[in-house]
Amino acid sequence: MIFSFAQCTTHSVSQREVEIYQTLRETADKQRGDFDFFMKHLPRSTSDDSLIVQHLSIQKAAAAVAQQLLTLEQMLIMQVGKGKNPKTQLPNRLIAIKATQQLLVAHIKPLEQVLKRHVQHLKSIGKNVPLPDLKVWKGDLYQTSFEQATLLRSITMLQQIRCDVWYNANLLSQRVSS
Amino acid sequence: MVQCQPAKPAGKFLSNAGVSICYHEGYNMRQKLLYILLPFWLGLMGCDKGSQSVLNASQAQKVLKSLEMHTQWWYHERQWYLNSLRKRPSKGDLATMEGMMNKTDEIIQYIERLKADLTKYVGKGIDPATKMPRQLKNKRQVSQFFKYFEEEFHTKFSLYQHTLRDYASSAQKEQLYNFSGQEEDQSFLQTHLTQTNVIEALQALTLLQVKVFKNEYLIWGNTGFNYRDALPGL
Repeated sequence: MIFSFAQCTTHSVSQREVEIYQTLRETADKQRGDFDFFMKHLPRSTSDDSLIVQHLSIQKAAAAVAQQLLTLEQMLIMQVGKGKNPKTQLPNRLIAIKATQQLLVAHIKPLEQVLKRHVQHLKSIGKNVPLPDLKVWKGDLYQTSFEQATLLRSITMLQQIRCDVWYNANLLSQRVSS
Repeated sequence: MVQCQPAKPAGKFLSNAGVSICYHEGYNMRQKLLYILLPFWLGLMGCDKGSQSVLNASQAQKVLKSLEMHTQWWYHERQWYLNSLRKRPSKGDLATMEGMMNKTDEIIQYIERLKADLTKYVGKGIDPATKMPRQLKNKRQVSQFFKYFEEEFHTKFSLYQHTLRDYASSAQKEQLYNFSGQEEDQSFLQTHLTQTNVIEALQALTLLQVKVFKNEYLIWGNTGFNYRDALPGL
């Protein structure tokens, strides 16, 4: 029986999974970089102060949510992953499902609330523009994104959410500017 | 003593036709073995929870969408570069870069076709309710799919790599990613597409598109031209 349960929880990490995590980190960074880039150049293209204020509000809100995601990721890496391997920049432990889930259960509900409030905030900024393609978080975030996930998959999902946060920021920024 | 013989269609200890069984002591041993193995079997069955696999597929689908977002990012970025290059008074590298990017577009479109065929033939199309392929778990068919295209894949990538190297400097050549790998077991197909289900394979192919764009960037990104100076739409 013990053996059979061990079979249930036996996972290995593939090169594909590792590269997907690294690529999503990069995707989120690029999305953020784009927002910052256009923010920097915004005064050149508009004299509308209210537009600049709106953009600053979007930037501040997205940066705060993204920071919460990074903090949770760091907590997972340090506490569950036993730190980072300096060579690979990956956690020393990549699987650890039980420990990952224990830590996530305690932190996901507040994060879910933050994400839902964030979407409402973005919708209020963009109330005069169509936003059908805004990424939203419906239902139970733990169930839809983290249940039974390994440490690597969990930090991948956190990066995936970070990508969506910056995607939303760029999307709203473009819509309110046009 | 344990006596074994082919099964017959009668007798209280005989099982299904074609299966060798054992009488008396053998039966007791089988029974004991069954008691020992049953929990193992049930445990293994417990691993295959339908709801869990659906959740994992939905996680994988979200990751796939974000990877696709990244390929789009790269596509727009190189388009930005090309458009800025066209606006420059001195056209310099334009024809060379356009030629190289056309070759990259061809390989990107080839990967896109692989993704479409994989979704259509192995994934049995997209389920409108879930927006995911209808068949998700068939790893064996995914493996057969890539086995079928293996030779074509290697030929196309070898040709592309060869062409790309023509545009690269000696230093850049050293940095270029080798999609076919130095050894057979290091090829992208072996390292990223072995033992994958449909969505995982789609993820890997999208990752491959990102790698192709990043690889090409090693060449056009090092030309020293600040293409972002010309802002699109501002």
